[in-house]
Amino acid sequence: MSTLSVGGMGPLDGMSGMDGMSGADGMSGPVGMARKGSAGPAINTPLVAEALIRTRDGIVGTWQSPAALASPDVGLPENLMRWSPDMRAIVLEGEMLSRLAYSHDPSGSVFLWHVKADFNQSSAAQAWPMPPTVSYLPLVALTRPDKVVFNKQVALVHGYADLRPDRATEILAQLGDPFAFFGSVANLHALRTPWTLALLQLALRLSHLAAQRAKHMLACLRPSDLSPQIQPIIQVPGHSALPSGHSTEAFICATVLYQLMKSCNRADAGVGAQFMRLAARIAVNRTVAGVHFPVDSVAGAVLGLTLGKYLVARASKGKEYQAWRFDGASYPGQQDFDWKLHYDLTTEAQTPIESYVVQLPVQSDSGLGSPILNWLWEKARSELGGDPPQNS
Amino acid sequence: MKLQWNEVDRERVRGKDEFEGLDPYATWSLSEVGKKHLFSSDEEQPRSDGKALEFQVLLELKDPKGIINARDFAEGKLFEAGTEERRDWQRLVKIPRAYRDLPPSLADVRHITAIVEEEFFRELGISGSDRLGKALARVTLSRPVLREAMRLDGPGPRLRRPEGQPLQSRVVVGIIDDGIAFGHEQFRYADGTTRIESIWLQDGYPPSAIEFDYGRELSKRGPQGIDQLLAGSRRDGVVDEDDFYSRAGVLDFARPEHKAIAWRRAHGTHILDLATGPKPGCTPQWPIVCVQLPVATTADTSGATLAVKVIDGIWYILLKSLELGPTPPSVVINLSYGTIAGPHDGTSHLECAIDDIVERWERAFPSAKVRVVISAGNSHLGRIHARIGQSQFRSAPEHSVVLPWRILPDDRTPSYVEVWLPHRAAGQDSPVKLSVVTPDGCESHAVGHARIGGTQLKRGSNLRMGDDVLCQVSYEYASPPTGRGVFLVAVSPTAAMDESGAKTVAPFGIWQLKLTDISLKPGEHVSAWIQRDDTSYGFPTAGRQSYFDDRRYQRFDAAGREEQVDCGPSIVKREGSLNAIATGETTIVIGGVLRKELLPAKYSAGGPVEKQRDSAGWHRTGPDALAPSDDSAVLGGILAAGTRSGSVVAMNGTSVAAPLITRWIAGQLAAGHEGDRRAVNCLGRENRVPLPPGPPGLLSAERAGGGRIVGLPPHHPLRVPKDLDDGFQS
Repeated sequence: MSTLSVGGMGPLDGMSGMDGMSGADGMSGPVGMARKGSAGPAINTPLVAEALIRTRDGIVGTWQSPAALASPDVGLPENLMRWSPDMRAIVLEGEMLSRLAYSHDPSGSVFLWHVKADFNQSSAAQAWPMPPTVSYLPLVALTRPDKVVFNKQVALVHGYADLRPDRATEILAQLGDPFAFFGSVANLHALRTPWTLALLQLALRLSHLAAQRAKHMLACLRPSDLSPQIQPIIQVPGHSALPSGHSTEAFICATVLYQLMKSCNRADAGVGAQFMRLAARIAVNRTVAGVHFPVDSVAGAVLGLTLGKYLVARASKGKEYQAWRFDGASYPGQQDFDWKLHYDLTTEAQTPIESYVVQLPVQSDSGLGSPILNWLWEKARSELGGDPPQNS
Repeated sequence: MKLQWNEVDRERVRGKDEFEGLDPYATWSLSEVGKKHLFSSDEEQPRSDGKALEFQVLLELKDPKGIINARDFAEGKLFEAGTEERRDWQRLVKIPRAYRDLPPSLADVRHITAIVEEEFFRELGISGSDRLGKALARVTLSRPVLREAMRLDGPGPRLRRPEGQPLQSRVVVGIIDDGIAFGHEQFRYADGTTRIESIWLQDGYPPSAIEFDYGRELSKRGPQGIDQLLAGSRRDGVVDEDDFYSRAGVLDFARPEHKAIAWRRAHGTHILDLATGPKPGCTPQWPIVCVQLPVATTADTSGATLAVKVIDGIWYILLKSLELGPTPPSVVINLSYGTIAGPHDGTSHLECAIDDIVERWERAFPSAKVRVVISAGNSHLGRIHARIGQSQFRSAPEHSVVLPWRILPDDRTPSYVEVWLPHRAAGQDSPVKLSVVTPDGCESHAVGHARIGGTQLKRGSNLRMGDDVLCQVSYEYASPPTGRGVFLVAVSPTAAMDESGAKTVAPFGIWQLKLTDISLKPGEHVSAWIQRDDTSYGFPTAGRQSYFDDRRYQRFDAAGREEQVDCGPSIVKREGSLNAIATGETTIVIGGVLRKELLPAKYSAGGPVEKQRDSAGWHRTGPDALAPSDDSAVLGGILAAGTRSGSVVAMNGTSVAAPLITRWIAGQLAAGHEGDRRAVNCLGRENRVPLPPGPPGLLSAERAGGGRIVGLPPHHPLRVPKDLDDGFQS
């Protein structure tokens, strides 16, 4: 299970807890990001500690001074290979989040910024280097819809309730992370493709932090706040609705996994389409369950697709990314969620829609790429059979 | 408030001079409470535009040749031109263009549908309007589709005529069902275009220019046709089916209705795949014509709106087949639908209409054969049928037999029992009287049509609590060809969820139907059926099936197995539980068999049917044959397509047995053979694999017809041996 989740999130909130990766499903084990369950034999028990004391006493012998051994070089990404997956995950997560900043305006928008930081070259002699030059570039903006839109959307949630008996199994199985489902399409396995799963965990983590922050700021109601007749079939999550976290998660996974597989010549457009269909199904199932409006999925898809490309750029030595804006204020209230409006399979790009999904200028940052994220990316590529990177 | 029985004011509903051919349900359906339930799922009720309530009716014209044909009837030619009466008539009665513009060889068609205003029923019962009585034999009423699916802008288009190249196939497969995935890969030709020539979505909207004045039609060809939609939804060579159905306008989640096509499993898709989808070794090329019934029709399992929609649907499929080429092809139609209560002698209006249409069509187009395949029904163990002989009445105290009817709590739809009496001429006394006792002991006066001890029995009785009617008992006469009296007992829902609905609900528990013999003749019997009242697969909970709860009915044998053959003295029967629309003359009726055990599926209903008036023998014993409806007692259902291409799901019931035979018949017709009842019966009898006989009674002719049809290859041409013809009971 993803022990990177912050405390206080219940088992039903879709962010932690019941994941699809544990147990006898073939997806568990020394997955990159797991903090528990990866320590090998159970050492830290009173019995073993006592036994180790006695064993050492029995064989330690007279003290001998050992030979000096140099530590590995400073800052090498490869050093992460020597780390246990759980601690490694913390380093990777910190790196991924190190360039994000948030702001909002009271009229109902939240802005996610990329922090462009130009580090000055420093010589080894300096005790403290010159500070980097920092600027903020737009990444993604979300504006919440007004109550008229939600009022129309609640009828769609009622319409989708018809499918509850048909979708209940999926809804319950998708309470946790979506790896069982993406793994089923892409043939992932915890022991065979641990780096790919670690990369997806990282993507998931990015989506969690961005989506939760946006939810917090936008403070949108749930369908069951609007109507007593929605009666969701699962525990309504203890946080606000838009953007849908499941939609964000699913679309970031679809994007990252597809881009990764494509870089290894392991995927064509048909695979991409299947990932997008899966992501949309996971998002729609939350509407069927009664916990999300279709417009929540729309905002989540914009966020997930944007962040997915952003993460891929940072992990694959990219120098630019595309910024996007979702403007709920101009969302047509009766509009259902349709993933095909958001993503063009031919160009493999997000698409602007009317005035509510707006394409912003491409943002350039020569320091966008991250060596350690790239290290993880290449690990994942190599286990999927991708060619080794060309040194340039 | 107290419960109280009062006499029914029949005149208010049926007019002064009762029109004999009016639907036995009319006394209930046209009463205030009956209308409320008939229109309960209509969002537009009460009508916001202030217009009169409209009904959809199935009409039987008495003598289309001698008195009036459909076209003249529609024009109001019963009345003098220019008179107010004629103008009234034209206002009250709208007959779809389809029936007015029939090909000349079909001008004398008898069974047509119409949309009428409520006043029409009063006109029927007003004395002096004898012309109506002369023109009409029967009127069966139902509710129209939702208003947004109705064409309100004048008459529909003229019938189309064949165009383009002649049809290659000699046979067309028709299906009338719900949840038909018309974009499915199983229903496409090898080149990726659809085999579905057209589908009529009867409650689709906005309505098309269609000659039946309601619903939406999607054709194979044309700019908005299925082929274009399929092409437009192709991405990387694969049809995105969510996209396809959404663009076709059948997946609108802003609508609250059940959306069968969004489910994994759908009745119509599974059945159409069994009937005509490609299977190993067999890739049928037969064109398909589909009729998708309104959601409300499938939801209402009592079948109260079935007759009109099915007859329009059959006409639609047949007329469409004429467009497919200069030579009318043969047509086989699968109708895996059923109800329980009815006369069970093949004379219900829907059954007569189907028989009549088949006969007239074949006469008009000698190159075309028409076969209608119906499922036998799943009510064998439902305890929905009782049969009481004259001798049982005679040996009972006061010649009275009590039929205990258990109505369940939380039933949101009305419950009905029909008690059918032996043949009598119109106006004759009813040989039996009926009183009804509520669960807490409140007994109605006796209802019937006879004078006993100087007192005339009342024709009907309403159970009231305040202004609300909770139960209605009435005696009706079903005019010839049925020619039998029937008691109809209607009980209001035992739960009400709708705030605009009744504040009071009917009590649940045992309702006693007290039947008393007045003048039954030796050998005669009375038959009762409870109307179907369950909830269709996937639909929101509506009805809960009531049953006859008789202490003497033995459900289990000594080992705890469900008894499948009637035993003991109970008047409640398994035999005779056949689907009430499956007792006609020409329809081919199929029950279910377990493919592995080779025994009838325990739910598969059988005969006997009731004898027809003035008939020496029976026109059928029960189903014509059994076909697999489950792979085994453990592996329930048989496998066929789910709603999305490539998916496979299991469904069971006699619904999935019928299409296997539909498929076989299509093959027979394509090969120039008859593929009729007789052929199916023979196929069951002379199955190529020798089959074990099975335990006594289980494989009677009433239950299994000709026999078990198992191991049928997808294509199975068969010639009917001459020597078997004589043994067939037809």
